[in-house]
Amino acid sequence: MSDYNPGATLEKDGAIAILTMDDVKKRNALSQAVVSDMERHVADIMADDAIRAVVLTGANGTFCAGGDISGFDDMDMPLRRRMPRLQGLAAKIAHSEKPVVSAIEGGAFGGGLSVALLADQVISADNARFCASFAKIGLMPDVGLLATLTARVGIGRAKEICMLAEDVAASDALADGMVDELTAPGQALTRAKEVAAEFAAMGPLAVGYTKAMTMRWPMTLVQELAWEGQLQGVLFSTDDLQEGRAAFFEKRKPAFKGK
Amino acid sequence: MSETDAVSRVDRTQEGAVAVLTVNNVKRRNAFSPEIRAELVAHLNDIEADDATRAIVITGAGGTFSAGGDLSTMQDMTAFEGRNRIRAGRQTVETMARGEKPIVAAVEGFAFGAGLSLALLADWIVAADDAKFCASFGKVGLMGDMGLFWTLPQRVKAGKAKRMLMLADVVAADEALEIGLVEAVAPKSQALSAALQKAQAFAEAAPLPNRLTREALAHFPAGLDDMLAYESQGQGILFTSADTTEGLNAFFEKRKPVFQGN
Amino acid sequence: MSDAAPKTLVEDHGSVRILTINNVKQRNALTMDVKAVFGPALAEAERDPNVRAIVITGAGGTFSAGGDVTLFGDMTPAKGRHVVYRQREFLHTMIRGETPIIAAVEGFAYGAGFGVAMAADHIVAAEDAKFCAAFNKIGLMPDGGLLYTLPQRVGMGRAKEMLMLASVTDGVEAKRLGMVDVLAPSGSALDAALAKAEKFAAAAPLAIGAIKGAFARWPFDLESVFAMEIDAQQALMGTADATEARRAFFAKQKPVFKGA
Repeated sequence: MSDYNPGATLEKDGAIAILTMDDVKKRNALSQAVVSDMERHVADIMADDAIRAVVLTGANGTFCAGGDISGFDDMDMPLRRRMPRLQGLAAKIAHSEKPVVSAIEGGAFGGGLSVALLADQVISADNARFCASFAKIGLMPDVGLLATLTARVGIGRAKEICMLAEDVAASDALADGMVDELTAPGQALTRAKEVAAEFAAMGPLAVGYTKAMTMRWPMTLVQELAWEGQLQGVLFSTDDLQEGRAAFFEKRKPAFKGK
Repeated sequence: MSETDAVSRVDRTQEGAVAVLTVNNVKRRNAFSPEIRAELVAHLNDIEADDATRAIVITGAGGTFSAGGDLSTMQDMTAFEGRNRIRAGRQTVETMARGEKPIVAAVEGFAFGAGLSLALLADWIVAADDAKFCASFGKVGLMGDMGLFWTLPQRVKAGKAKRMLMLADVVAADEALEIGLVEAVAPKSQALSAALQKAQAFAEAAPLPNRLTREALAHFPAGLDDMLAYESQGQGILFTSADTTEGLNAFFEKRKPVFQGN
Repeated sequence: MSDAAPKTLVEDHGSVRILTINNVKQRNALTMDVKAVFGPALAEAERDPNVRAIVITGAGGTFSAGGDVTLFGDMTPAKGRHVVYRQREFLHTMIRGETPIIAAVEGFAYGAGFGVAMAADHIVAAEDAKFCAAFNKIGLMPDGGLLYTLPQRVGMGRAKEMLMLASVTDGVEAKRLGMVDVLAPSGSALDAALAKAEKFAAAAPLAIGAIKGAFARWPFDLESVFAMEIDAQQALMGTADATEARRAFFAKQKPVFKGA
């Protein structure tokens, strides 16, 4: 235990990066240590062309306990500095153009829920619990939750979840669309890696541009047509499209290279 | 357009006040080619100006809706050529999205790639019980186009929409109904008759308000004040139409209204 | 002879205010005299810091039959636009206010009545409640904010069907589609709404107001939401209620909020 340093670890397994929040005493809250490590690792992931998909998870049987409220009243990372920093991290994850799969055991609360829903796919153990706990401490949801949650569950349910700050069971989270898949307890990471592998097999440019579009939802038709035209235009010029066509005609799996 | 290819690829028939457009290139599974695009747009423009038509059904010949873009026409392109190709498809999107007459899609077989996009440009979709939907673009290293990033999230929530767009999931008819991708499922080979029934209901509705409603919703997602403006301004235009008088009379006389479209 | 009963009944249950549209003979149609009372009653409830949640319902087992069709025969386009334009203030109060609004729907929510229900933050419907954008049947388009609120709750295909075909949706189907949030047995929508309203009323009022205000700005994307958070969160952090909430959280007690 003397070697234990709270923070976040990065493991690379072929084309998949696994980013694990790990601060056992604070249940993986977004502490200074965790956030600093995540910033470093996200930059690494974004710069590494070999990485095609990211799994985001928490150590110690829980995902993330959110904003570090034990730190609220001290000046180590006051809110006015923490918020832009967290938002910056969230923006980097959201605009990374690499697919992200979150794997949740135990629970995701407050900012932890916000981080979990930054992912493109959310895999949860069937005994996990979720809570937009912000209103319980007199705050509003942050780190993008209003946008990500509304897109997933619709405005009626999003209002209820955010205003009442009640616990949501995994089965309800699935039915609402907050999470995408449930697994047996202890299996979320395994399944998340499988889903990440599905993403990793897609054309990295195509999946990256697709993700970029979805991160700008909701958009008007005018915006959609302009951006779709530009991005698809680039994709039409790629080797990956020609590989995709060849694979289709030859009835084999394509091997995309990201160019 | 090839001079040897004089065959119509989008057929129009009329069922009373409903125009039926059938994409017809069965050998290529109704793949969405520049010819089909051009004919579809031409028909839609005719229909928009045709007072006798109140609703549109769109479907595919040969038991399939459309397999999407024609891969055999996608040899090496520059990015600008690619962008221009997409811009050419925009006219279809804009014509369907901004037209003032309601569109019902009848999907048998496959609605893949641009075929999915085309189906989703309709207002109301019925699928045969063995129909399959797929944003197959991703399978070949492309992304969704023809307005798909606008239409899909209007129907399907983000988690499922992302799987469809990023992973090219194939969605079968029963799941399509459950997630809101389509409004109804019909027995195999009966999607068209179900679509005609629905289109007939649209055709019998008061057309002027629906023109204005469809126009307003083409601006989705818009803010509260924008939509309130569409409502008050549109309602103002409608209030002294003959159809409003007819509607009120029918209401007080407890009978079905007969709308003339003026 | 005028009907002496007030066109809006006002009743407080703790910090929950119940506003009941009371025009039973006309199935709670939103006539001029209803609007003259209901609008101000809503605005007053919204302004009152002791009112932490508002329930809107209809008397006589029905929500509202919608606009007053007896007026519609005598319209010019300008007058017609004006009638609808006047809804704006009411809808702004409902949607952009700071107090959560819970609709309790029994019976019919037709036309603008459907609009009022959909403009609430949280909607409780009886299983046999009936929702209908009846406008098209009299040659009109939907108003009451439905072009904004309905596609937020149901898929666009369903929304168009309801808005363009004036189809009738019952409570059960409405719940299935996400059009309403809670389904209640026939006759108990108000009880269920009240129970829910008490939960909203117990929450930190400034946080609730900020959350409601943020949602009112939909459509928003991720970046817009970040901007709203920066503005609101700093202000909320500095409130006595946030301090009280943290204190109560660590002490495992129920917080007592002052709305400051």
